[in-house]
Amino acid sequence: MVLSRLPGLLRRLKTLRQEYVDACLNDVPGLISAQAYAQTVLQHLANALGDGSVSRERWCLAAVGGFGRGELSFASDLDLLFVHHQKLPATIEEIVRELTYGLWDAGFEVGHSTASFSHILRLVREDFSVLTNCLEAQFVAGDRALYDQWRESFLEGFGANGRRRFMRVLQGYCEGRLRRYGESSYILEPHVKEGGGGLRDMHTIRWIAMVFRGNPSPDALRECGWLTAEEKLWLDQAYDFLWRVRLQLHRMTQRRQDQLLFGEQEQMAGRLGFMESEHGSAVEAFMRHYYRQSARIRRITAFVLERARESQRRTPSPGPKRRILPGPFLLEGRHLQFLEPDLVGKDPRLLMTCFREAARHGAHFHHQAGSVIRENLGLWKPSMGEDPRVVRQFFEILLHPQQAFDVLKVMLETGFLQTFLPEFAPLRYRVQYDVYHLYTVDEHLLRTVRELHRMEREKDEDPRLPGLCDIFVPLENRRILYLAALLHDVGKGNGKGHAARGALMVRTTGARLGLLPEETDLLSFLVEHHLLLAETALKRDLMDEKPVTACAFKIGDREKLRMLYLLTIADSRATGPGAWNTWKASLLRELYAKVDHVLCRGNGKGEDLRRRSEESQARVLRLAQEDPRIEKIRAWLDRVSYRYLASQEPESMLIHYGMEQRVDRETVVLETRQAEGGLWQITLAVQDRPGLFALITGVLWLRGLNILSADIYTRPYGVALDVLMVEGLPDPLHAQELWERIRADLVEALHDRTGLDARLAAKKRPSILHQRTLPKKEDRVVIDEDASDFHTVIEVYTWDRPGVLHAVTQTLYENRVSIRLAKISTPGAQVADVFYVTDLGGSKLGSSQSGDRIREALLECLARV
Amino acid sequence: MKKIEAIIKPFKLDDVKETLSGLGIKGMTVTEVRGFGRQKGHTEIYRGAEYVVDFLPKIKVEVVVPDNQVPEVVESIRKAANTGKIGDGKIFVIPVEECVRIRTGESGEQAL
Repeated sequence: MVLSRLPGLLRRLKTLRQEYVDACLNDVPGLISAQAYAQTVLQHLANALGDGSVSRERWCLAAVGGFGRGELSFASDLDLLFVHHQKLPATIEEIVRELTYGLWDAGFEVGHSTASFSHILRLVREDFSVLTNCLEAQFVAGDRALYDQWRESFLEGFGANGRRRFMRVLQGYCEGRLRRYGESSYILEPHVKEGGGGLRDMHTIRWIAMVFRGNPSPDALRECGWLTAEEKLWLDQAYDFLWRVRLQLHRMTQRRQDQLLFGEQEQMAGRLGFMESEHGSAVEAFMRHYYRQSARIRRITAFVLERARESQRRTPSPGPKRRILPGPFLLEGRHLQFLEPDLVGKDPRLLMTCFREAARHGAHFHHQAGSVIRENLGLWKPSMGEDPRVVRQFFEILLHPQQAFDVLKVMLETGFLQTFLPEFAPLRYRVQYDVYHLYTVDEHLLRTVRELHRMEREKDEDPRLPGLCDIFVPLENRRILYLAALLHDVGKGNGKGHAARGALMVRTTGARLGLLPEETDLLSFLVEHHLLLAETALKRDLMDEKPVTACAFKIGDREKLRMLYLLTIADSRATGPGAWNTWKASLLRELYAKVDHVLCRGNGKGEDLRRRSEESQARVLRLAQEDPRIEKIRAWLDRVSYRYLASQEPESMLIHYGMEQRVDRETVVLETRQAEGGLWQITLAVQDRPGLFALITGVLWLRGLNILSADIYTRPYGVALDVLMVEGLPDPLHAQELWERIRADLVEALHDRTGLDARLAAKKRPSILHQRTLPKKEDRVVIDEDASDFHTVIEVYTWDRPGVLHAVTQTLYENRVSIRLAKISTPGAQVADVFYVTDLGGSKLGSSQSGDRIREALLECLARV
Repeated sequence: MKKIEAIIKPFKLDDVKETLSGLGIKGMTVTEVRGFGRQKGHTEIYRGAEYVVDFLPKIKVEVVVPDNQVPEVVESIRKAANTGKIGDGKIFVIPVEECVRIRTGESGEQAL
């Protein structure tokens, strides 16, 4: 053994690491702990290797990467770089081997490389990750002069050209990183290291400081004016917080896991001492703080990157075009700044003018503008927000087709938006702890405005909703619609009923902005009812006149309906991928058309069900004119229900008739039709029997299908016709095979259920592959006797898990409840199942006792699934 | 411990390797294999006997991971190797009784 002191070193390092791990059982100061550990490890290494027993000639050992930066978690890699002259001396080879093997065997992860002086310089030129890894280094052992020489040659590479090259590659690196870690999954479960506003952003700042100032500390950037004292302070605080989170995360997961998953977020909130309050749960408070900190890092990183790029402009060239805008502002290229910042002190209303100019000219904000805005926020007086000129400028920004979102975003980030609209302050970074709401509330509101602009601008962009932009054309109160989009969730954060609370709050806003009384009424109406259309479309039978006329009654006129429709779509699209799909679009479109129809007729009444069914009977018979079975079809049409006649298309009815004729021979008659998007319609004709629907949900679930809705028609002659809308075919390439298997499964299950039950039980067994924890809400069952004239409506809310729909339908069957219609939505791991039911005799459930009994049975079954 | 064995299309190897490194997987074994699944090879008759000529070239990736890492590893391989076409391959998860590092004799999860 060449390294006589190796065993002692390893023992000391292991003890040191164990102490670090133990300390992190509780929340510890983040950055200081990381630095102290790294420093001590380095010291031990230096002592063991530098005691004179090994020759120091012609080689040196440098700490690089996180180790070189001097910040380590107990789970971090130790990045070591051995540099040698020309040929590697044999004794050094021994040292490298003994040290790295020893560290490995002691359970450290070592990222080591051995390279000659010239080789490492070449590697750095060729590979950006080697370059960034080497940017921050510390001497550990060996020949100090060699180390200094290496650093000098390395840093010499950053002359004017080297910097320019560095910035170009860095730009691509940052973009690639944000593309990869900016996906929706990383928004809800952020990556502490690589995500936007993560530790890596801070590293980027340090790299820039190193390349441009020869010193990695952000202090160097403050000295040259690239960072203000305030920004530096924010950066330090945020960075320290991220380190606290990271250390706890590594401690909880017992490994180097840097993504903050749902399962850990709740524990983390507790470990870092966040508490539940009237504003929300502990985990929401924690995540809100997390987003606030990472947004700061992200923003400051963007500033620093911009300043670094700016510094590289070759001065002699004429430079970008400069224009003076009224204010006065300087528009240089695309960057806007204050020409005389002192004027803002005299009249802070210039701030709004600045944003307006940015919108008009599609300008970016120069970092000087950002600082001036932030520094002067304190001078803003509430009365300024009521100044008609300021309000006019605000609406000009809000209604700007291309620039609204970008400018509002800067208004939000600089804190100006909440100064102008104090309602916004409690919404900053407010988290809704579920997988449905992808964005924090403030971000979601801005995105809603952006979606509205998109819908208005882009002709028929969404094939699911043709003609959206035409709906905008006749709108008189366009600016109120946009204001409602910006404010619709303003009541969030104090428990249930945010829409009603928001409707009250925006009345004050309206008065402050000097809106006309009728405009304020409209604004308040839109905020109060912004969920009405979505809730009705997803949870009510649209064939039933009652919910449609109830909507029409609440809305009152067609212009309001149009506005509400547009707001609903924009709101859904801005919520996240779980909130908007083909299915929801088609339901909303249907509801919109129906309500519009009622409003058009003006008497507030729906069509007579009987008249409608007679009309559709006539249409079916016209279609079947040539059919030899026409007399039989006529008799059949007299036996089916009004609801059936009113809700199905005449062409489909003829197909259904044919299917029902085959039931005796084939047991299960199954037809499928591909609908829009990835949706399929399945129609089943079967001899009716109790529990049939539960059986169907079981089979479809086993085959991986997701049921969105079901219309169940029971004929007086004992045949059941089920029309189902499903999605999520596991293998769309082999759809036909799937339908055949499903039919075979059903035939078998009708004959003997035991096989099906065994397979259901097997599929429910927990798999090693599904162990993700997601936020859960309490199960809820609502039983409504008034929503429909003919049915009791049961709403079941729970979290999504294998077989939950089957369990619910099975429980309903066991409680002698007959399902007539089901609407199932699964917005982001939460389930909302709505059933229109009757008792076995076909009447409403009626009594509250049976309602209570069913509610209890359902809750109990949900607890078991 | 579980062994995850993934049969994938050869040109997807780089993607799979990259995503696994991203998860901190320290080692893997890769083999060129041949086989067929639902995409079948085609059948021919030679001297009266039926045999399959076309075993398709695939890559088999094997990694052994602690139980709690199985879901993310499987999901990542699936995402990385998916083209949506027939012949994308399969992933098997197999229990591993024990693991020994030959050089040191360490065993269990720490030998992974």
